[in-house]
Amino acid sequence: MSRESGVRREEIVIDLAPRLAEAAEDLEVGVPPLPAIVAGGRARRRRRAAGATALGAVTAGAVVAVGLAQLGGGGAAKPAVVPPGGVVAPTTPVPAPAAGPGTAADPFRGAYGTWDLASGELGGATWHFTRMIRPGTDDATDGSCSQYPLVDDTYVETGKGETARTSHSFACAGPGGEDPPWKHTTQFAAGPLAGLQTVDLGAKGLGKPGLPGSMVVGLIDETRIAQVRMVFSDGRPAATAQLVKAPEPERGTYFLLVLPGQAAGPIQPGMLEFFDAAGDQVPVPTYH
Amino acid sequence: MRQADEAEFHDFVVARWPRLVRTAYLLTGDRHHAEDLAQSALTQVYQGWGRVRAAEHPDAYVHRILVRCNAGRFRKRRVSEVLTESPAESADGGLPDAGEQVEQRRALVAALQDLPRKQRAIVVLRFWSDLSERDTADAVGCSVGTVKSQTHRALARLREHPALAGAEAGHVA
Repeated sequence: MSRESGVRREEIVIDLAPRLAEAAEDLEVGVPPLPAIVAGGRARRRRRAAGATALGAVTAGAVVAVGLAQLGGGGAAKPAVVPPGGVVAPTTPVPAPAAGPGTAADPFRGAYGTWDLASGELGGATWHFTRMIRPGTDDATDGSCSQYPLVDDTYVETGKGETARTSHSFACAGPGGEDPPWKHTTQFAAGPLAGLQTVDLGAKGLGKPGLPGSMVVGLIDETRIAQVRMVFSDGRPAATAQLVKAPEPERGTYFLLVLPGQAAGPIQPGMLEFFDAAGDQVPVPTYH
Repeated sequence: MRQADEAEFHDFVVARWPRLVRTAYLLTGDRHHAEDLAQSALTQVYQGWGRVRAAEHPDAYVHRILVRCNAGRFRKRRVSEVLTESPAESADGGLPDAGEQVEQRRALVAALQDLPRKQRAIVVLRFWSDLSERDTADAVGCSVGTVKSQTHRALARLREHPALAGAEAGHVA
């Protein structure tokens, strides 16, 4: 390289940064499209969760088989009780054998397993609400679950062997973690629970329209909340959710609400009401 | 995402959006593509917000996503774009500006687009985003040595670019 070209390149290097800055700042930039960004990010999360669900369906399918065998043979799971209106009745939780003691790196290691929390019938088909805890995957490092090596999947299964995961954001609570009174409420289309806003979860290779209903599930702090109601703006009477104690290591109680018919749309703020044991309404923050 | 995290993400987007769009503009040469690219990158940032906020250099992380989104944009389209004679809209209302400085800036943006994608990304990240060679290498997905060699080649190409041939020495060309 000649001395001249070397000098020339230095001049370019020195001058390029401000020239690039001037060129870039010629551009007038508007406000960021925050709603579109957030909606896109949520959609990406859902797609990713749906992909993970396809993998988890193999395991969940085995759970269905076990559950059905227990029903047929008089095992621990009880036959479903279906009160009028489709409100669920919980079955006895069936904890799976613990995988071993927890460690500092994996505090939930001893809690891996599967629990059949509730089941019921809708539209002539039996469904199971099954909660699974398994070692975390890359999914768990997204968002608020980042500090816990855990993925908590909640599946809804039906007697047809179809499965859909609701969310992996249930089990964010843990030692030292933030612990809101309830973490997540999602309205989901269990594969065969058709017509809901999150039907795309089921549509990713798992869902087939089958059961004419929807399920709402959440986790609440059992120390404060004694009743959960869902109210509707379309004149339907309020529905009272069934409460099911969450297995360890989670604290709290799941609330489950099965609604027959097509879903009216996503859960809006104010549709869920929480009451303590005295019957007083308790304000509860929601996370979506 | 928890409400607190969501609020933090919103603040992050509002603070970074102008800079990110301008970086994307230098990478794409088109303001509309730039906004699309920045939006795509931030969508991915939202998806992995836990990792981004925990990163030692969140901005470097975001730049990496931006550069890879830009690479993906070309992979998906499989059709190379040809810049038109019309410059991107600018702060002066998008009308052609006869001023020499404005012409030079437009020529620089056009010249950037004629660089290979990796060279362009390296130049933009090093000289506009002011990333270190190490962070640039991480963002582009290459070694520090490659950053150095590609920088050298990119500057040589810019110097020889026809659009910049009339500029004075000491400026870009």
